[in-house]
Amino acid sequence: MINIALAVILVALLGWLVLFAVRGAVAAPGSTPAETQAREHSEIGRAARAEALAFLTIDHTKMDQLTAQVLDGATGDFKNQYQASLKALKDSATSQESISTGRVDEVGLSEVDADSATVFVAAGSKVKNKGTKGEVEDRSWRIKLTMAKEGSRWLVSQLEFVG
Amino acid sequence: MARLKRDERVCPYCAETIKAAATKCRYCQSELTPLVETAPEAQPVKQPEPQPVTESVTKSVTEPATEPVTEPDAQTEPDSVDAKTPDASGQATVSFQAGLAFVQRRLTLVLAVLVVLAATAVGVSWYRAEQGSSAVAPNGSLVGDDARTQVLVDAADLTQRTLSYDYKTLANDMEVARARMTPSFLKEYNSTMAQVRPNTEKNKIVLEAVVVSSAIIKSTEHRATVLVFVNQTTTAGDGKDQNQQLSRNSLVVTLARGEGDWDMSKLTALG
Repeated sequence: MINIALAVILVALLGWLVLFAVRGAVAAPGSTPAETQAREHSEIGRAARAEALAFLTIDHTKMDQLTAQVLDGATGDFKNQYQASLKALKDSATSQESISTGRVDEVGLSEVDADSATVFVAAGSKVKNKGTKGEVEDRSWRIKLTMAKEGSRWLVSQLEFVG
Repeated sequence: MARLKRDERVCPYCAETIKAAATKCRYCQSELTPLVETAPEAQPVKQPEPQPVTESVTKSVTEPATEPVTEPDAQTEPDSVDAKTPDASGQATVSFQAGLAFVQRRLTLVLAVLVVLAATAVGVSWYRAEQGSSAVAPNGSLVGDDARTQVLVDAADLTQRTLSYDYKTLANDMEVARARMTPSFLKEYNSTMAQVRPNTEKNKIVLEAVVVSSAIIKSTEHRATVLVFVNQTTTAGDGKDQNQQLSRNSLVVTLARGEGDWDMSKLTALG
């Protein structure tokens, strides 16, 4: 009886060892600090990409929905500034009949701390409004985002265009 | 305790192992009932003339014809025990159970040792996983602060080296840039500069690249893609004829390294 128990334990341990050999540190229960860090990095990148895209997308027919999306991913200074210019933004989008389709080319992480990060985004947008006389203009942007972690979410606390 | 051989039995008085055919225990001298010898067909070669059953019952100590009869406990004595006799059967069962218990105890010991070894190995692997590398995540991505800073700094430095040159110091500027390139990028760089060089010297061109920011798109220990924002000033001519242009570019720079420094491996302009 004890032999069977021992044999079962042995087989389980050997299986675990094989897992270590094949998958490396992933076989360790829980997550290593490096693993957590890597996940955090991809979460920052994902959040930055989503917010940059939301920010560059304008459609005069559904500004309420689009601006709500931007505010959802914003915090701090950026949120305050965006909120303050909300009315002007909506008015101009409506009067100019603006349509802007955003795109994010690349997202890169610069400095990353436990609760703040600096992210650079190479983005572009195809813009069409009364000013472009119905033509679509392709514009590209270099954006610096300052991110802050609030609870479990990464939000944009500052958005600057890089000169 | 060793297993009984077929021609052996255990003395019921002193429990020593003796020949099955013995009529007297050689250890305690007790008188014993000899065991019946049967199955002569099991030894057809050594017993060419099968003995009648009655004879073998009465003369159980009879040695096969080829063996000297007088040898009392010959080691080479062929099987003469019928394991089915009641006496021998009882002994065999007891010793079989004792043997089984022995084997089980030995197996338990062996398994226990193996379990301890395996558990130790798992422990070591786990410890290594936790403590081992804080700079590289299990998926290969580079997470260590120092390592990432090195990537950011080198991406900026190598981009500036590659994209900056002055017609007055062109040969030297190119040497500086070439020092940190992978072989394939070096080839690309050489062929580009071969085309650019005559115009650079003729029109007195100075290219100055200033990296505004660098940020890691993706990085492992040996390969990194970095988003670099660079402002390039191109100055042509000198004195009053000087003509300057500024362009703001976004680049994806790929760096590679073996064991040493990062080298420029690829440079692509976005937009």
